Amino acid sequence: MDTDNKTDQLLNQLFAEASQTELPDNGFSRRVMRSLPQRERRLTRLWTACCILMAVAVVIASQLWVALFDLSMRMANTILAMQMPTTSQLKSLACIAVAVVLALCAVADAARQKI
Amino acid sequence: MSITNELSDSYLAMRVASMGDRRAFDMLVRRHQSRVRRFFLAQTLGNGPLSDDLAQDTFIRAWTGVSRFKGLSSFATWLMAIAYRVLLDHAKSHHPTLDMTEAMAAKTPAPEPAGALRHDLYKALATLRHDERACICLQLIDGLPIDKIAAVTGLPSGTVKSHLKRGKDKMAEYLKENGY
Repeated sequence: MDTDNKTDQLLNQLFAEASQTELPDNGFSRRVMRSLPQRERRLTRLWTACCILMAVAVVIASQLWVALFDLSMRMANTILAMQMPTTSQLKSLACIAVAVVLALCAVADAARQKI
Repeated sequence: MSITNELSDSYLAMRVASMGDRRAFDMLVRRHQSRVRRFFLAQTLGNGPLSDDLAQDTFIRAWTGVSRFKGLSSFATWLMAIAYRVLLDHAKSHHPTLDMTEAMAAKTPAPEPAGALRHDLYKALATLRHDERACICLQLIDGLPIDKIAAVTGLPSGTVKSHLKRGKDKMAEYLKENGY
């Protein structure tokens, strides 16, 4: 037992310096980051593209686009029927277009979450 | 201290796994590079370029397999387990019929890089079998307890204890014969 303690003491003493030394990076992390494969990124992009396609398919199959189109047209007609300056009408139509795109993105995101 | 330094390893690993966040992985590499490279430096008996190659391979495997990190052990333990497997794979692929000690000792060590052990310690480490050397280094350099060494190497705790005992005895004998 005493010999074991002496051995431990000797080895702890000899390894102490190495155990406390922090190796300088010297560009190691940069080299690692440069050599990382891109596979994960491509997979993520592919997965996102698939989800968007599926969401579009769901919108088409469920005839949701008909309701969206109908709603957009009604809003557009209402705006055009109003006595507003042309620039304001264009701004309002642009807002509707953005709202439709956002709605489609929300559907795509929901489909992605569900999958 | 900046906010990025306070982010836990598990949180960063989760970001890497879920979003492929390269900045989060960069932080993990910077945090753990010293530990991993120091481990390989001791295992390759002071061969700096080889230990950096093996450390790089370890981080690449961690990047591709980070989704398997479930947070059951610390990220450092998980990473060192990968490092240990990289070491075994390297020894097997380069010298399948030799014990790793002979394989590593066959290479002439490069000039000692920063953080390297003293030359006579490498000679003492060269007298050990690879599993004994790994256990010794994980305990004496990284300060890991026996249960963590068992988690890293995948060996039962009893086996780790006997590797440590045998390894220390061999090293002590070598060092005593050489004037310590």
